[in-house]
Amino acid sequence: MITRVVMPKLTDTMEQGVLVEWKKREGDAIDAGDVLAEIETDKAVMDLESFGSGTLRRILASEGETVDAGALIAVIAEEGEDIDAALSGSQQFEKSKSVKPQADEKSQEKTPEPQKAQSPEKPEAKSEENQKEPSSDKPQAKTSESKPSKPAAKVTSAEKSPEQPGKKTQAPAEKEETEQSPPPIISPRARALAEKSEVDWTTIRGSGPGGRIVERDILEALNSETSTERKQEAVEKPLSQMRKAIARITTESKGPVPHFYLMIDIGMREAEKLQTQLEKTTKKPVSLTVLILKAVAEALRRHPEINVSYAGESLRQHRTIDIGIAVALEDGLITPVVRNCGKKSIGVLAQDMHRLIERTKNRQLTPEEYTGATFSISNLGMYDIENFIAVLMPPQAASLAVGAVQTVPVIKGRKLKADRRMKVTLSCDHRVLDGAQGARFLKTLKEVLENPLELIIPKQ
Amino acid sequence: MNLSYREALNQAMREEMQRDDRVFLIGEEVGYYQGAFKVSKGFVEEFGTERVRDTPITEAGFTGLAIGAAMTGLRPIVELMTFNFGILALDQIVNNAAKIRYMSGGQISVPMVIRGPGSAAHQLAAQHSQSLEAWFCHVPGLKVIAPATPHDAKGLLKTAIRDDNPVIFIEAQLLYGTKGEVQEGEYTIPIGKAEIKREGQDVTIAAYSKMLLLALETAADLEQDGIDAEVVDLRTLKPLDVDTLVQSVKKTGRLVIVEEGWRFAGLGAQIAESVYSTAFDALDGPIVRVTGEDVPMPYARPLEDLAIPDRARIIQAVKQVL
Repeated sequence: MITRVVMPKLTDTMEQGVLVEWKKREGDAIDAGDVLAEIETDKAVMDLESFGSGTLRRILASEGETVDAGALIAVIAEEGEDIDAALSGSQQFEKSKSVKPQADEKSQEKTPEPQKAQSPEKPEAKSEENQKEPSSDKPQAKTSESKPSKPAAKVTSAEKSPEQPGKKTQAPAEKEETEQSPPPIISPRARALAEKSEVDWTTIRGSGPGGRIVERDILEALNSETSTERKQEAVEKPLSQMRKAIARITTESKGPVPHFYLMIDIGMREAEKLQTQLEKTTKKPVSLTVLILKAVAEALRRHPEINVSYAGESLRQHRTIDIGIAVALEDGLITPVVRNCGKKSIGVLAQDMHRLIERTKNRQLTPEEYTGATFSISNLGMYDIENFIAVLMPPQAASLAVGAVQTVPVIKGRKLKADRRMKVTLSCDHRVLDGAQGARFLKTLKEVLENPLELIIPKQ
Repeated sequence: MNLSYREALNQAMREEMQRDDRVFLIGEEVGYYQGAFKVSKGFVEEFGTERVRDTPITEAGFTGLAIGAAMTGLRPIVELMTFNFGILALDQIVNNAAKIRYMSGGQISVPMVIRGPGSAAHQLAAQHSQSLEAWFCHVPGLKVIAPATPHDAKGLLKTAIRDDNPVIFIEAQLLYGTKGEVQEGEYTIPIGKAEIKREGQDVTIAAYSKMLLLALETAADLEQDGIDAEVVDLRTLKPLDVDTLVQSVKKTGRLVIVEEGWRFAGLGAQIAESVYSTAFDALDGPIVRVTGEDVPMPYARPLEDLAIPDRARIIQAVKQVL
């Protein structure tokens, strides 16, 4: 008679055991009750006694090896008896086993009763198949765990026998996750959803009361499933504090804030002329960004409805125009704030901006210098980006993405001419702004930049 | 128009008595005293003592008398000073009102309304603070209504008066003074239709009568905690509108039932069973009940407060299932 020896489950929490030492060698004669090996559980070292008699035909776990509870570790049989089925035929074994779960479950409650397995009350499932199967499943009955852990399927790396087919294939994956934990509880709603969407809920950790798997856990699993399916080789680098902040802020923005975008094309020939003139007069380089900053400030002054924030129950109208200028750094991005732009001349704005950019690049900014903007400008023109759209930085309700000034053909009257044009995109928070408001703002901005004298002598 | 619950009931009865001269009001102090809670104000003046009958303190007697009148073709409204006193009339209600139609093989119907306040007011002690609706709901042959708002009270009372079967119509002393918008002109509300009084996504709170107002207040509190509760007003307790409840539970996945009555074998137990049996797979957690304590109502105010559901207990119940 063949006896399959499996790693017993000796405590409720035991999922694996360490085979400390074999007390018998292959070929040794075994009587029922003989100590076969020493097993280390998560609590203690215990003797593993044999339930069957015969010869220890095969040892499948080496000393020191960690083995899942329920895994086959040895086979005892008569001398010369064919044990191939017991070794590799776990497939058949599995099948027959899975049809008689009650018996197993009852017996595992208590300490194993060897006779139990042999007793005639054994399952309706003592099917023909099972009888043909020469193995005795005594140790199985003694040690196997409740269904979800599918003990006999949990074979360690050392076990060479082929994996079980069908349902069992998920066992290795779920093994790690459910380690040490009882079978999960799941709400009917979550179970229905899991079944409908074919999610394996046995591997999910529940977030409901008492660890119950609830609907949101299944939804989360559905979302993450696609990403975990394909794991590619990659190196994990810790995020810098700045990168973390960017990740957080953009997520908090792009997720909940309903963005919409408006694009406009602005003729920049006049603005560039003014830039050249200013540089000549002041004998200092004047960046186009300063002119755009001034133009934005001027447009905001005329359209205060853009200079607002969504504040839950109210709309916050800002009294001052504080504009953040996105500055790219090697490892991120920071947005220093030019204060009170509505009341400052181009000269003062240029000074403020250059001082802030200097301090940004030297990493000298204090938090006061990069928080509290009511609007921001992000200019990627220097990278020849024609046009892009920016993520809002709450609580700002709008943000301007500035593209490169390019020489492009335009039709004026009936003639084709080369012109200097720039595309800008306004991102808006739809909770407080609507398309027409943004459009009016852009129209003014365009007007101001195309007639840049208004930057020097503002319209009343 | 903005009316008190009391005025809404008054209007409903007045309109029905004007419309149908078979309708009459009978009970203790309904006539010259204008009703123990002034619900029948002006009635004896308008309709006379024939149709607004003051009775001795004899609940079993005048309820039985009204049942007889209903059997012979009139449409009585019995006012019980409170449902606590209605216990005296229980034999008439259970054995006659609820059964005559069945036992006469449908030959005789009992078109009547038995109405009055149930539940606790303040410090009326054990005998006068009871919520007995589950008793009536248990009896085949009775319809049971417990509206929470003046609008519902008026519409449902009119429907109850027109119903050809006995209807138990449960009010509450603490509701009589509450005010609310009531639809202008003639309208009725069907029996057996619950109403979603507040839409929400996270949890369904089912309640009726006085507890509905508590549920709505609690829902506002929960909103502060970011919990979006849906509040279903059952309005009719029997026949129960399981469909509306189930639709709501299918949306939220969670149900908290609030009732003032005693917990054991209370109405919420039946409501929970009805939902479990039809919408088990929609539930994302067990149904939780918030009920009155299983004790005679204490007289002492702090103890009384402890025996009746409050906001804190509803909030706790909601958080328990989220």
